[in-house]
Amino acid sequence: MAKLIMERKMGDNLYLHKDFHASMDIALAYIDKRYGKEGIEEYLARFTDSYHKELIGKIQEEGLSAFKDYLVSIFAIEECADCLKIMMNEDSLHAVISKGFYVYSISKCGQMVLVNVYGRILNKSGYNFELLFLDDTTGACEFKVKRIGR
Amino acid sequence: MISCTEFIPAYSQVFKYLHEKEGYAGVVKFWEHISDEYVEPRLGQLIKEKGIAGCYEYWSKSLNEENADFSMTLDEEKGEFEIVMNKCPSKGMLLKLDPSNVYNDYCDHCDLLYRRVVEKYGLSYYFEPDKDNMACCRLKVTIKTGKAHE
Repeated sequence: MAKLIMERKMGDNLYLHKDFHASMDIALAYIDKRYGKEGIEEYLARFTDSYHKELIGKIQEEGLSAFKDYLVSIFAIEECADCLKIMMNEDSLHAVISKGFYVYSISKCGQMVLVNVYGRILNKSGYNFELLFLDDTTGACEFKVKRIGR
Repeated sequence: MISCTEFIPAYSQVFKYLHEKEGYAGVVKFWEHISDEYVEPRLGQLIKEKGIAGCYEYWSKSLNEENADFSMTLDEEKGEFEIVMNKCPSKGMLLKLDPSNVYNDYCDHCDLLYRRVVEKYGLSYYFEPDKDNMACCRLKVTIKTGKAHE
């Protein structure tokens, strides 16, 4: 009969719970089932507008380097830094992702997430987002971003 | 892609979205779905295989990966498993975010999601939620002896 005790303080561990992705995938599939693709778009727009408000403001102020820093940081956190390549100049950015850190295999809405999160962040910041390629089986993708009007 | 470090605000926004469409009852329905689709295959299967010790194994992984501040005890002789959450990382994160990200009844999902699975396997589940936004809570699972636990 075991008696086990575990005590942890915040900071003892790294914050990386990859199972969260599966829950998100289930949630997106649930919204799809009840409200269709429009529902997913509506939900993702609300998430992006609320959560990424600060990032949008930063891109408006500092330009694409703020978006590049964001991508680099989340790929590093997800331990996928080597899957991300970014070519950038002042008004444009070209990202090539060799493998996604998660593949939305339940909801199958990888493209919708890219367009309605990254795309929306960039559109609201004054840039066009163009998804050039997405492999639904690996999450590999490529997109280009250009300042609107240039 | 939504990083797993962005999951809490994304999940909270799912609850807000569903509440607006279907009210609290609709959110509860979603939590039941998540419990069946996500928690049951993980926590449920561990309890099925290992009894109350399965709780210790399940939360050992998730709480460490979420960088929580907690104390967790398994006493198989007494038939008790307890988590004292000193600082919940999810609630802690929500408290720092703009209110547009926050579903006010966010913590309720922790009661429903796990209770539904734990009680299915004949164990008792007690949940004491966070009070006054301190990001502290407590849950206790006991082997049923006919006597309610506190």
